[in-house]
Amino acid sequence: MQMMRGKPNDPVARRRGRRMSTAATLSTFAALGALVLAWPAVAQQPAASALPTVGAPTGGQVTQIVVSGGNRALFKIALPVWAGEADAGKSGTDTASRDFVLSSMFQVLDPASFTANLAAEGNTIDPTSWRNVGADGVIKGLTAMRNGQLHVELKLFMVSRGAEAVLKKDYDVAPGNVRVAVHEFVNEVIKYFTGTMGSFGSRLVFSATTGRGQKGVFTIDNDGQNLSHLTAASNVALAPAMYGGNVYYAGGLPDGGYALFKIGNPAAVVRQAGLVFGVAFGGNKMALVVSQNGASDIWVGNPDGTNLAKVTAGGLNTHPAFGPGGHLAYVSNQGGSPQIYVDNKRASWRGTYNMAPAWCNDPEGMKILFMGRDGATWDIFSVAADGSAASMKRLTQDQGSNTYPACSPDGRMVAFFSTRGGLYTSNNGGMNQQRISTTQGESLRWEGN
Amino acid sequence: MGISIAVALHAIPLIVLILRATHPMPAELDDESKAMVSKPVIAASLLKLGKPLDPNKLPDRLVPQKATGPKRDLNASTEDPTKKSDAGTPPLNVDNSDIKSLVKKSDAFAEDAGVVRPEIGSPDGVEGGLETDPSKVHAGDMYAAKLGAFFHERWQYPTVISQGEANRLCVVVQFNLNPRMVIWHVSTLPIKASGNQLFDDSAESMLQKLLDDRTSLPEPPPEVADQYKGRTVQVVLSGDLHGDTSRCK
Repeated sequence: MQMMRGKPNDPVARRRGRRMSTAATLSTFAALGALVLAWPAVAQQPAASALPTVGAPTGGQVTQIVVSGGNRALFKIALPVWAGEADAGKSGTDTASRDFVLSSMFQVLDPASFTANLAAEGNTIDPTSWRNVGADGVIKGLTAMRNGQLHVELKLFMVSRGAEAVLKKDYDVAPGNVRVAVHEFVNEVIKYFTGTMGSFGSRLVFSATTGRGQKGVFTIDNDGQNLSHLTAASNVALAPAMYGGNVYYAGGLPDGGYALFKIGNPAAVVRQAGLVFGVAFGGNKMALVVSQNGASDIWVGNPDGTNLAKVTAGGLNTHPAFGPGGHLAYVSNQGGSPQIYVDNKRASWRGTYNMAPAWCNDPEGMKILFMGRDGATWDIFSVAADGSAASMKRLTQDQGSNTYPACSPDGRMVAFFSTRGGLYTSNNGGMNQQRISTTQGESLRWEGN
Repeated sequence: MGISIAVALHAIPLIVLILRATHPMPAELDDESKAMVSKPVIAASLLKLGKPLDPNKLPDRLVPQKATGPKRDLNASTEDPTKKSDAGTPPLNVDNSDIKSLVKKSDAFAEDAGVVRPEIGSPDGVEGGLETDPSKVHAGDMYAAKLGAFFHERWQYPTVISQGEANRLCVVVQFNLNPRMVIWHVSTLPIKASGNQLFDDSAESMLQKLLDDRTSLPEPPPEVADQYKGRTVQVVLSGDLHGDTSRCK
């Protein structure tokens, strides 16, 4: 168009016009050439499909719709008040509700939203009523006194499967001890859904300051109930561990030494040259932390303290923990800074100060939990048992200082102390952190792990 | 003379291109025929955002973010929708909009990188898939997507099923619609079970809830209404996040 603006007889305009015409023609040829060369590639591209991706009738009769992904949500469970003994029923539903919340797998529905006619339903359910309030499952209970024992009958209903219970268990427990039956039933419910039993009803053991320069040994149920101070033979009782139903600890001796004690036994059960500062049991073995001549080493032998042999080579070696197959995790500074080691191989490769390992039988793979120092605070981390750096995950951050992790025997729950104000549990990814007690302590261990 | 020069000039680039394509330069041949040389490879697990991991630095905690969209059955606004006035044209250069932020951060193909996905459809076509009317095809596509979203929004399966397991699960359930697009019957058993009863139950529960509530499905456009109204419909529910439904066959 610009070319047409020049005067028709202007020689400059004519020359410019010829140059532009030549350029345009060359461009056209070049484009055509490129198209010829590129033609096979263009020809190989598939034609756009005119078929609808969904909604096409199949067989001419049935229309099919495809939905991918879905939404994952906690299993919504309803716990209506149990029939029978009122106090036992209240205690039972409270305990079950707490267990389900702590498990991180269930959402307990608010009883105020229930529309079902419980009296008319009896010990079964009307699925429609429960579906309408969003329940996926319902647990019903019946309690009665029989021969001085509390008989507890518990049933799990799946709303989608109608009025028949999918799980039914009966328990006879001492009156006032309905919690035992409830924990057992919740573990069965977890097994029903996952294939492995839950860990409710187990205990945690730890040491805590009881006075100036004094430490004692404590246990607490894993739902935060029944905190108890165990009577130790020493005013300084450290690093407790459970074995065969007994609680062992490192206790101070009148002569200033430290030896291994057992709760209920005033005399030391294992004495070793040097100071015994920690103990662990597992795989039919015992590991002791023995401090001698300025070094701290791990000694491994029989659970009764015989045949002890040193398995580390000087420096700082503490916090032994046995895993499956008798593998031993511990803390060592043999690489320069305190890090987690498993069977003399380094497992933690990030951070400058990592300690207090605890094995965790996570359903997705064996892990080791530990506490790592990050600036002025400590946080909880996990790492795959093979110690791959990329597998290291952080379970807590910007939530105060979090210390001494312990893992439940089923590997689904983690407990730890936090400066937020007590003992916390979460799932094994650090989600659903719930305070179960206001008590503080250290050297936390979970019974059965 | 001038004409022949012009023709020659025009032909030169074409000849050059053809010669280049048919007789590659020696350098290009060298590139292809060059012997493979092994080079050091840094394991991907040791890299983070393209940098080596700092061994002194501990990793950060990864926390899943909650969905930012409004919850189902909730009005995003407290205004009466019937009295709500038009918001007018959006202001220019709005950079802080949530939608824009989401679009900026998202990469639609990131999930597919390096993964071979099964082909969707068949090169020879499938039975019942012979519709050629573009308007009908378009309307069917749009409605199917709407219906897919309708079920996706209402379908939940419990977290006791791990995501890894859900990726392998697929269930096909069936129901019947009346002419008003309300479900009047749900098959008691899945047409194809997933092998995980909880997963199957989640599909069953969704349909039962729709049946109990007499919830109407979205009204189909007239072009495809005969495929839905008063018909038997199957829903294929796949737990695979990437939409792989190959296990449903």
